[in-house]
Amino acid sequence: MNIEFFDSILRVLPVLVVITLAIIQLLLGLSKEKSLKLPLLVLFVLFAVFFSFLGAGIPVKNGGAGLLFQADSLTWSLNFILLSAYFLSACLNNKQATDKSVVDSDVLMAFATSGAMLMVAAANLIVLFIGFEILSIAVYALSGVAKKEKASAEASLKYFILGCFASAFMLYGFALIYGATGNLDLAVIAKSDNTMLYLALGLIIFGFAFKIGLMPFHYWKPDVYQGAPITVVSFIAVVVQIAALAAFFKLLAISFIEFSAVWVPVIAGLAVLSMTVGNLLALRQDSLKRMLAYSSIAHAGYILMAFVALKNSAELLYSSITYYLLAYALMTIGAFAVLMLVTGAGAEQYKKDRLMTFDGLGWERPALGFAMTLFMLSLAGIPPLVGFVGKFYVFSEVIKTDLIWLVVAAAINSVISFCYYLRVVLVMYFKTEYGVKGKKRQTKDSLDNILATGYLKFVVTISAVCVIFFGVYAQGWTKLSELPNNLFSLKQSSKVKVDGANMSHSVELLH
Amino acid sequence: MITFYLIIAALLFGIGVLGILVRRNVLVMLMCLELMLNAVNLTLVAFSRLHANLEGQIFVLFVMCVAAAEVVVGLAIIVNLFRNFYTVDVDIANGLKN
Repeated sequence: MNIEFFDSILRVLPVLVVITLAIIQLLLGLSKEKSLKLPLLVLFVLFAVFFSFLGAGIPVKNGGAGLLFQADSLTWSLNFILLSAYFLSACLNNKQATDKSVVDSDVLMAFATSGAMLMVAAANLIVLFIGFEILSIAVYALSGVAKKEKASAEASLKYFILGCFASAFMLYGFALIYGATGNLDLAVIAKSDNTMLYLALGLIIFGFAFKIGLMPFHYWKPDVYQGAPITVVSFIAVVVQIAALAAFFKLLAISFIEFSAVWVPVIAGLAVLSMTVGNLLALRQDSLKRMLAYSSIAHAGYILMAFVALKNSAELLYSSITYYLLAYALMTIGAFAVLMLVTGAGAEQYKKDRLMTFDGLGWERPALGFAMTLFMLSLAGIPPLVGFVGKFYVFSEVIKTDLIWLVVAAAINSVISFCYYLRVVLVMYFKTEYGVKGKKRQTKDSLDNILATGYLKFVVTISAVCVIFFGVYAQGWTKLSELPNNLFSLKQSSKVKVDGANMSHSVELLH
Repeated sequence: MITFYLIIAALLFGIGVLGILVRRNVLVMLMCLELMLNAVNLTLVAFSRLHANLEGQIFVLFVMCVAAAEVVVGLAIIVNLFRNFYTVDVDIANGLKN
């Protein structure tokens, strides 16, 4: 038992904790005992957060598992976002205590989260691929978890075919990287130069663009969001997108930083296309789930835009991107929680996710209406909410590069996005489009289960508070993401340096 | 020598892509997905030979595991699709629209 052994274990421990949680949930699903669900979830998520905190703070040698897994402050902040998003989405998944599909989706969510954490911690192409597939395969099954619903069956099929198609392309890219360099280590790839790497880069961008749902490759996204049961759709919307974007970002930052002249135009083009077309198509949607799908495409565009600043700044860019990811997670989960409170989780959920369901909600249920307004305004990017600060950070990173047109395009897009986000608010308070005056609806929750309603209200409250808190006190997130380093005060040795990106940063500091 | 294997692998991959784009039967599409993954496996093994290290072959083992898991989930999804739509044609199972 030497130090290196513990060191290796510590790096994988957060993932192992989540996998253990999944297995325990699987076993518990056999029994009738349902009251353990929340305590277990809280306990294991806290453990996973704690271990990933420890892993980021304690100085590590680059031997053993260090070749396969990273444990730095970026990984810590991404793990934190993923685990919080998982926790909040798992609270949403609470339809009826007796329903079998709730157990299924609980287990699948935990496995998918472990895959997502592997993906963002990977320092090796094999680990990256396995994390990617653990996440993807679990999510294919997750979107089809409502077995009796035609929409769900169709959504899972579409997601499966297109997702596997994309990952095969990405895998081919990995194989070509291996062919060009003879190595699967992310950091080693950066040091080589071979024309085959250009082809590999193209295939990898294609694969990730599919997975994230960027514009020309987005066809699965609205269908999956609409077809998947509402109990799991927020998980699909948040965790998959965050993990894919973060892994894509790390791959570009670590392995392909020298190729930035090649991929910056492509990424910029994809970003603008996703923003513009995503926002324009969102304008036409009547189903709220579809609208949020297009809005998530647009938000993926905003985050992708920040990638072009990779050559210029490093640490600041990392915290801007993680901040935006956190903001996206909070706003989206909050919006889906409100939607679920309104539509319920039964068979009627597919008919009731229309805009007119929100007709007059702001007067009938002031607290819920207020929360939804908050999430919509934050998604639109209105100060001082978290969505505004996220956009502000990302825009100010991109302005530092010479791609001003990109920022202009993004700003115009923000304005377009106001239209459809504010339409929801208008419908809730002013009954402009659908209002039938004098018609009184029942004002109780559509969910028949009191406990489930409690969970949902808890999620809405937490998200709303965080949307305001991190918006007003944005430094809070920076402090939180730097906490392991500051707490253990071992700054110089504990960070696993990202080549290239960090070098240019230190050059900046010297000037 | 390696070039030959790489060309065969690229051809197999192309056939897989074409099959997914052209065929409408989900089972055939699943087979084409497997073909794509196996083309990648062939590429990896060829490169492993070229570089005379084993990392590529280890990768192949993992890809085979993943492919098996993918088929299991894929077939389950197809069975579920058949129970709902009584078909395995992707064009018929296409009802999600705004």
